[in-house]
Amino acid sequence: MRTPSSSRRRSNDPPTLILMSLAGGAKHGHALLKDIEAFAGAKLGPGALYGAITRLEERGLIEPLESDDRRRPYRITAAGSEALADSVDQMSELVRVGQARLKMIPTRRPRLA
Amino acid sequence: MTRASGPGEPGARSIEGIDDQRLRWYPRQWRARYGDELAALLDEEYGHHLPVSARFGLVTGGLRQRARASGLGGDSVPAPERVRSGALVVLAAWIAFVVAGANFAKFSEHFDEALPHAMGTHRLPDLAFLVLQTTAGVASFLVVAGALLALPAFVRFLRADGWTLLRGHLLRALGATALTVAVTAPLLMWAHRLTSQQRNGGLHWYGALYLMWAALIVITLTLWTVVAIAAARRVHLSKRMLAAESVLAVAVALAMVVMIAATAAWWGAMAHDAPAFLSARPAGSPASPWDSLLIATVAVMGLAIGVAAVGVTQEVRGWLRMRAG
Repeated sequence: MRTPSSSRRRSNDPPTLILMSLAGGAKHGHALLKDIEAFAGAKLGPGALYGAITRLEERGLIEPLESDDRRRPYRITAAGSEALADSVDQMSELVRVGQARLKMIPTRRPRLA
Repeated sequence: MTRASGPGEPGARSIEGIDDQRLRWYPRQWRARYGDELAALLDEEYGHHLPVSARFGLVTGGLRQRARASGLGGDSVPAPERVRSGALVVLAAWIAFVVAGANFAKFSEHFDEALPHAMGTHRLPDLAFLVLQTTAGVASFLVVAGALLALPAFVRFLRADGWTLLRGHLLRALGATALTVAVTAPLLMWAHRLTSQQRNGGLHWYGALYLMWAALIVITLTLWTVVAIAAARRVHLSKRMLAAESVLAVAVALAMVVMIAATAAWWGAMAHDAPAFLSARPAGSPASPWDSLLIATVAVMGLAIGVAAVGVTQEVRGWLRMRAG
């Protein structure tokens, strides 16, 4: 789903990272922080995390689940999956263009395996 | 923070989140929804020691949520609400500008007497001051016109139980106004009996009372601004009325730019023609155009223009979104 502000998502912005994390399963705030740090190397602050959660929930891209304690888990919605797919497509396109242009540089050394 | 509530206790989730001091920068409504889970995250991530970076993130995050709650940001804010909020931000900026302008008016009292009587020396400071005064008059008229335009909607709002929502704000503003008037009358009578030298730093008691009076004026203006914003956020404005209010707000913002330019021109001309006037306080100090009071005044004006620019940007975004459908 393309929304005005999701049409140009960056790979490292908190909403995209949260959607990616929740695509792997429902998580609460602390688990989200740990997962994002593990797969993206980005350490989000609690303020940034909950700012993004608020916006994503308002747009219907994630939804809260019932919980027995104060930690409330969230899961990605169908609209959120579409938005994430859209973002990943954009990033893939960027990667494709980047790789193609790198091949145009004659002096570039081959990367060691 | 204590974990007093156990699982399943009704109401525990929101009450703890609302009262958590670490989240005091967030609006109450947001805390009621997300406060408890954010507090749980803070406990789990940091325990009792919250690092400075996390504190800073909570302050900026809280202020951002407050801006969103007041219609200044966020994709979920309806476009008309964004336009209205933008106009109100310009109004608040105008009030700050008025306070700085009053300070400038006091500072520049009798400036023409300090200018040398050579041909042309009066021209630029006088012209800049005239532009400043005229623009201030026009901008004040625009603000009053905006208030008058919204008056019928405001009366309808008061009749439809709006009074109960505004009563606290109104009583505080009226109380401050009464106190200001009560202090103004004796201060004016006293000032009338003093010489210009006594009024401008020669008499410390007068100076102290004048500062108190100025603080009262600022408080009164702020309280009335709060009333105006609280009312304007709730009254129903038609699209045409909203358009008129936002055009007036943009005009007021432009007037502020003209006024700061005129102030800068006056300052530059006075620094060239009569630098002693700018550094006459305290008496006997060497002539320098960099008077701290004038610097602070212009800084507040600049800050107010920055805030007004934020308001105008919100208005334009709101209108663009409304046009896009």
